[in-house]
Amino acid sequence: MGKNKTIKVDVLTRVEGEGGLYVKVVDREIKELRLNIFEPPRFFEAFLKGRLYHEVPDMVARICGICPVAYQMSAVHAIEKIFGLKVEGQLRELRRLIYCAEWIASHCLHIYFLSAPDFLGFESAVAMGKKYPETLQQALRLKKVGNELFSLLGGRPVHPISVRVGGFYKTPLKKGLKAFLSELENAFEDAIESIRWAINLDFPDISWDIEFVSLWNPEE
Amino acid sequence: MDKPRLAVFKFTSCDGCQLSIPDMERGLVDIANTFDIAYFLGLKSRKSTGYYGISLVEGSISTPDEIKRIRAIRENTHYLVTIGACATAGGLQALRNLKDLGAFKKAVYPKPEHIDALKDSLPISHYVHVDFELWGCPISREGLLEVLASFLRERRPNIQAYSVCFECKRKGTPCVLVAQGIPCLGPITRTGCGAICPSYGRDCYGCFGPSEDPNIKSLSLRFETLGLSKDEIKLRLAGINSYAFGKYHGKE
Ligand code: SF4
Repeated sequence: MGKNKTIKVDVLTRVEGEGGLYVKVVDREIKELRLNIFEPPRFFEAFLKGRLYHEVPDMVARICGICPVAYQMSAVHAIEKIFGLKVEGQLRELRRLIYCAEWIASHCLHIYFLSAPDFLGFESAVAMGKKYPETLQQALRLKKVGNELFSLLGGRPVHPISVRVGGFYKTPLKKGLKAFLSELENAFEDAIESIRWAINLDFPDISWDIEFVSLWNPEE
Repeated sequence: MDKPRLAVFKFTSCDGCQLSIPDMERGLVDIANTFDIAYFLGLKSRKSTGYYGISLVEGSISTPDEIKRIRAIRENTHYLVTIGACATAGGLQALRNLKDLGAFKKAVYPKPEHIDALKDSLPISHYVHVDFELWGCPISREGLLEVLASFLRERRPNIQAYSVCFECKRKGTPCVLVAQGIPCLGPITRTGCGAICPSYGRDCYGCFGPSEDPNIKSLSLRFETLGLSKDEIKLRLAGINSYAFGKYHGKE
């Protein structure tokens, strides 16, 4: 970077939500830095008041089209806590599974479709696929498996309709899940390959004096 | 022949509808081969302005700035399609239209004076002419592909507006309203989702919006016989498509 520089991005692309960025560098030092988030408010916290408890999981899903299950799970856990209800055993495992399906689909979107084109200097994943067809194919295969597992448990790949307080409206048949197993086994290879590929991307060498925190559940 | 220029725009929404495009997996590649994807912030960093053959618009209009943006898009678009409940009917966030915005702002934000929002969250068609409305929260991939295919062939999309009930009958799904007394919105909701909810033994909650000529009054009476109070019936209609259902409801 030169000694003086101004970076102005009116709208950030390939991110979820809407925002802009302004950076002003003078003498190699950042003098001004503005991240402008103009994603409009939708007031979920306000309009949820006064709703019936069983409506909440369907409503909060609409906070985000990429990670609806995250909101649904937080909502059902909160409401179950109020009722003094604990959902355990197979139902809990199925909940974890639908969450994993969302992760497969959303992480695949994030890594391959939103971020990778920046690392490799393309405008989009499709453009990236012209030079690296196998990478795009791998992305599409993984996305498909994530979406299909999601639909198998949730009824459709966005805003699942099966999640409810207390468990599920309907659980998938063992037969259906078993039939899907081989697809998952193939996807496992693609997932490992994806990690290999991603760690070899050229990450900028920056380090901050920051402590990152991550949470984990010893039972899962 | 030049490929038609396609643009995807986002207003107040959750991204769920526009992301049905990468969700199409291989279909994404087909779309990119058929159209010149000129503008799609969610998937592409290069922004190409100018005149668009087809614009897919997601999200409702809920801030003053969005009014300006949608007007400019309309001027630069030949065929404008709204995708989803937000763009077509104001979305779940249109629930605020029934309430006091000031109180809503205060309830959510510590500094409500910084929040620039219009009193109402409204459909795109409230501000500009819309050529086709694709319902759903989220839209179905099949619906979107049909819209794109019909645009290429210069015909109307073959998308039905009858109720979800027809779809249940076709699938052979037992009626949850008749058989289980569940207050299902299927009889007044537009088809297009594949009648998923009743096949999971639960109520349709209207995410595809009102069907053609929805008989809301008669369904409300039926709900009363199931023991729902007038308030509970109102809540049932005040969901994802509250603004659209409310329009019919208000008439009765
Ligand atoms: S209609 Fe539903 S899925 Fe589509 S953007 Fe709006 S909230 Fe998201």
